[in-house]
Parts: sequence; structure tokens; C-alpha cells
Amino acid sequence: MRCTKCGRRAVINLRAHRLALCERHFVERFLEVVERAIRRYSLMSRSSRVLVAVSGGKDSLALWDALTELGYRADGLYIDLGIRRQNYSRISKEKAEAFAEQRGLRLRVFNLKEEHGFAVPELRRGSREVCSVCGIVKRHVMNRVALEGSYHVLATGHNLDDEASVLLSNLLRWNLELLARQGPRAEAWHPKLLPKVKPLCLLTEKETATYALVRGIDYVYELECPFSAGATSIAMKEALNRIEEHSPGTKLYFYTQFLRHRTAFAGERPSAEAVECKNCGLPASGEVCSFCRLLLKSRLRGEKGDN
Amino acid sequence: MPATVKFRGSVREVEAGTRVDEVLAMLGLSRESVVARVGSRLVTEDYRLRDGDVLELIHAISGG
Ligand code: SF4
Ligand SMILES: [Zn+2]
Ligand SMILES: [Zn+2]
Repeated sequence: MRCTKCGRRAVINLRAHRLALCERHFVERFLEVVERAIRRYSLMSRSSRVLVAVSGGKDSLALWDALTELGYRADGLYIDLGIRRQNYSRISKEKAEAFAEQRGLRLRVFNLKEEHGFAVPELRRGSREVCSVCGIVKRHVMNRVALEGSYHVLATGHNLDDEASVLLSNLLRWNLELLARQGPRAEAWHPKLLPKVKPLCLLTEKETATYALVRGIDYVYELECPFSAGATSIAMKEALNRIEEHSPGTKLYFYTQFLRHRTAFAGERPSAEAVECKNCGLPASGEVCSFCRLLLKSRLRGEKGDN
Repeated sequence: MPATVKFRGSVREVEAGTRVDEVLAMLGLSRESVVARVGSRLVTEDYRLRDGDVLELIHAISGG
């Protein structure tokens, strides 16, 4: 296949856009789409200080690379969750560090075990899945580091497949509250919270993987977090990709049209009470925030989970 | 000499002349979910494998 723009050998066929592109034109278009998402959804400005949550995977590193290429001031944050199985945390941290070093970028590393005495798998208790504990930890740490470092906005590497699959599962369960909240920009509802943005939301997972490979980004592609196996999100993604095979462009249309009509769900957003956690001072829904509650419970029990 | 296909730790051989999309169909994979690479070159799904080619299918879908 030849590049639609210049006739050179194509590296990707974007059926949704009826475009085949060579390396150079693919990278050019990728950056244009990131910029388009940033403008269309008011994600950040050139003067914003951005903190990118970096996992060592393709999406977050591609995002950090693209923002830097586009001239945004972006530092990275790697949260060491302390996942020892398959050396997941160690290897992904090495990838993030090597990326930052090669490009002369600033990476902040937060080590959960060193700071609080527990790794993510050790905080898991009873029916609480590792991933839900992990989500609480990541949200808390990201916000805290961003606040302390005086950043303006937190960016994550969520791509179109992530967004469309979450949208599908929220719709299948008619979860109106989550539908009202979903989108490329989550506003800060408290002065101690930062807005969270997803500049890759218009690009598919295949596009971000291709970008990472073309740009020579060394990411963890043979290794997935050992706790992610069997995630329902993968089933949703596969279902959407089967539809995409038949009708290219469906994922993008599904997501962008949802964003246009999202106000239909706006009434479902619960009004947030601005309370601060007694322990850490960050916004909480009760006296103590969910992160501090996790830590307190683990300390009381004393025992360690399976890591 | 046939061509080699690598996917998620497994290795198999296919006849030279097989197209990448035919390999994907054989493995039950959607072209949306993998990036195809021959040596250090990324290829589109119409690429025909040659003798001695090593096709690597990089899984693009992550969970979590
Ligand atoms: S898969 Fe689950 S445990 Fe692993 S990093 Fe993601 S949220 Fe955390
Ligand atoms: Zn071109
Ligand atoms: Zn707290």
C-alpha cells in the first residue's frame, strides 16, 4: 500500500479515514489530531504546566512524546505501585526512566511502598479487587504530586479504544452518573483538585502503538500488568473492533457523537460536597478520603496481601 | 523457505506469498488490534510475505 499523500510505502492503513500513510505523514497527522483534541475540548494551553501520568506503556509515552513535540511544557510522573509479579513495576519504571533520560525530560517518581509502607497488591483486602485499589491510589498520588509541584493540569494516555469501551460498558448498564462524567476533560470540583485531560482520545490504540513504534519509543509491549488479565475492558474493546472491521469509523463516531450529546446526562451528576480529608487534607467524600482509609485499614490489620 | 510469524510468544510458519490479512484471519485477529512488523519495517495488511520474512504481530490492545 502506498501513502495517499506522497506515494511512499505506507506503514498504516487508516480505514476509518480512507487514508494510507507513510511514516512521515502518519506522525504529522497524529500530532495534528492530538492538537485538534486539545483545542476542541479545551484541554490545555501552551502556557499550562502539564503533568503526564506515565506507566511505561505505549499510550502514556506516546502522549508525553507528542505533547513535547507540539511544544507543551510537560513533565512525567511514574507511580511505582510495587507490583513484583513478573517484575512489572521494575521493568515499566526502567522504560519510563530511559525515555525521560534520552529526551532530557523531567520524570518524577513516586514510590508507594517507600512513602506509605504498602505496595498496591498489599493494600488489597477481601472483595476489593486490586484494580479498584490501584485506581484509588493512582488518583490520590497523581493529584497530590501535581498539587505539590504547582502543575495546572494532569494528562493521561487514554486513547479512543479506552474511551469507547468505557462508554459502551456504561451504556450497557445505563450508568447515568458515569455517563455524565465521562469525557476528555474532567473539571476540578475543588481548589485542591486538578483538571484531568485525555489528549489521545481521538486516536485508536493501533494508532498510538504505531506512533510509539515509528518514533522508536521503547515501551513495555510484551508485558501487561499481571492483574489486568481478563479485564472486561478487553472484551468491550474486542467487540468494538469486530464492529469496526465491518464499519470503519464506528468507534470514532460512537465517541464523538456521545460527546456532542452528553449534556443529555448532565442532570445525573451528583453535586459534590467540598470536604477535606482529616488525614491528608485532600478533598474527600467523607471525613477521611478513600486513599487514607485504605492505608489505615491495612495498618490496623498489619498483615500483608499477596504480591 | 517459508515465512515465520511471531505472536504473543508463539512462533509458526506460513507459506511465502501469504498476505498479512490472511495471517490475521487464520489467527482470528482483527487488524484493529495488532501492528504488523517485518524486520524493523511496519507493514500494511496487503503485504505479501516473502521467503525468510519474519512477521511480528504486536498486540496493541491493553486492559486495565
Ligand atoms: S491493571 Fe489494575 S493493578 Fe494493574 S496497573 Fe492497571 S489498575 Fe493497577
Ligand atoms: Zn507520505
Ligand atoms: Zn486522605
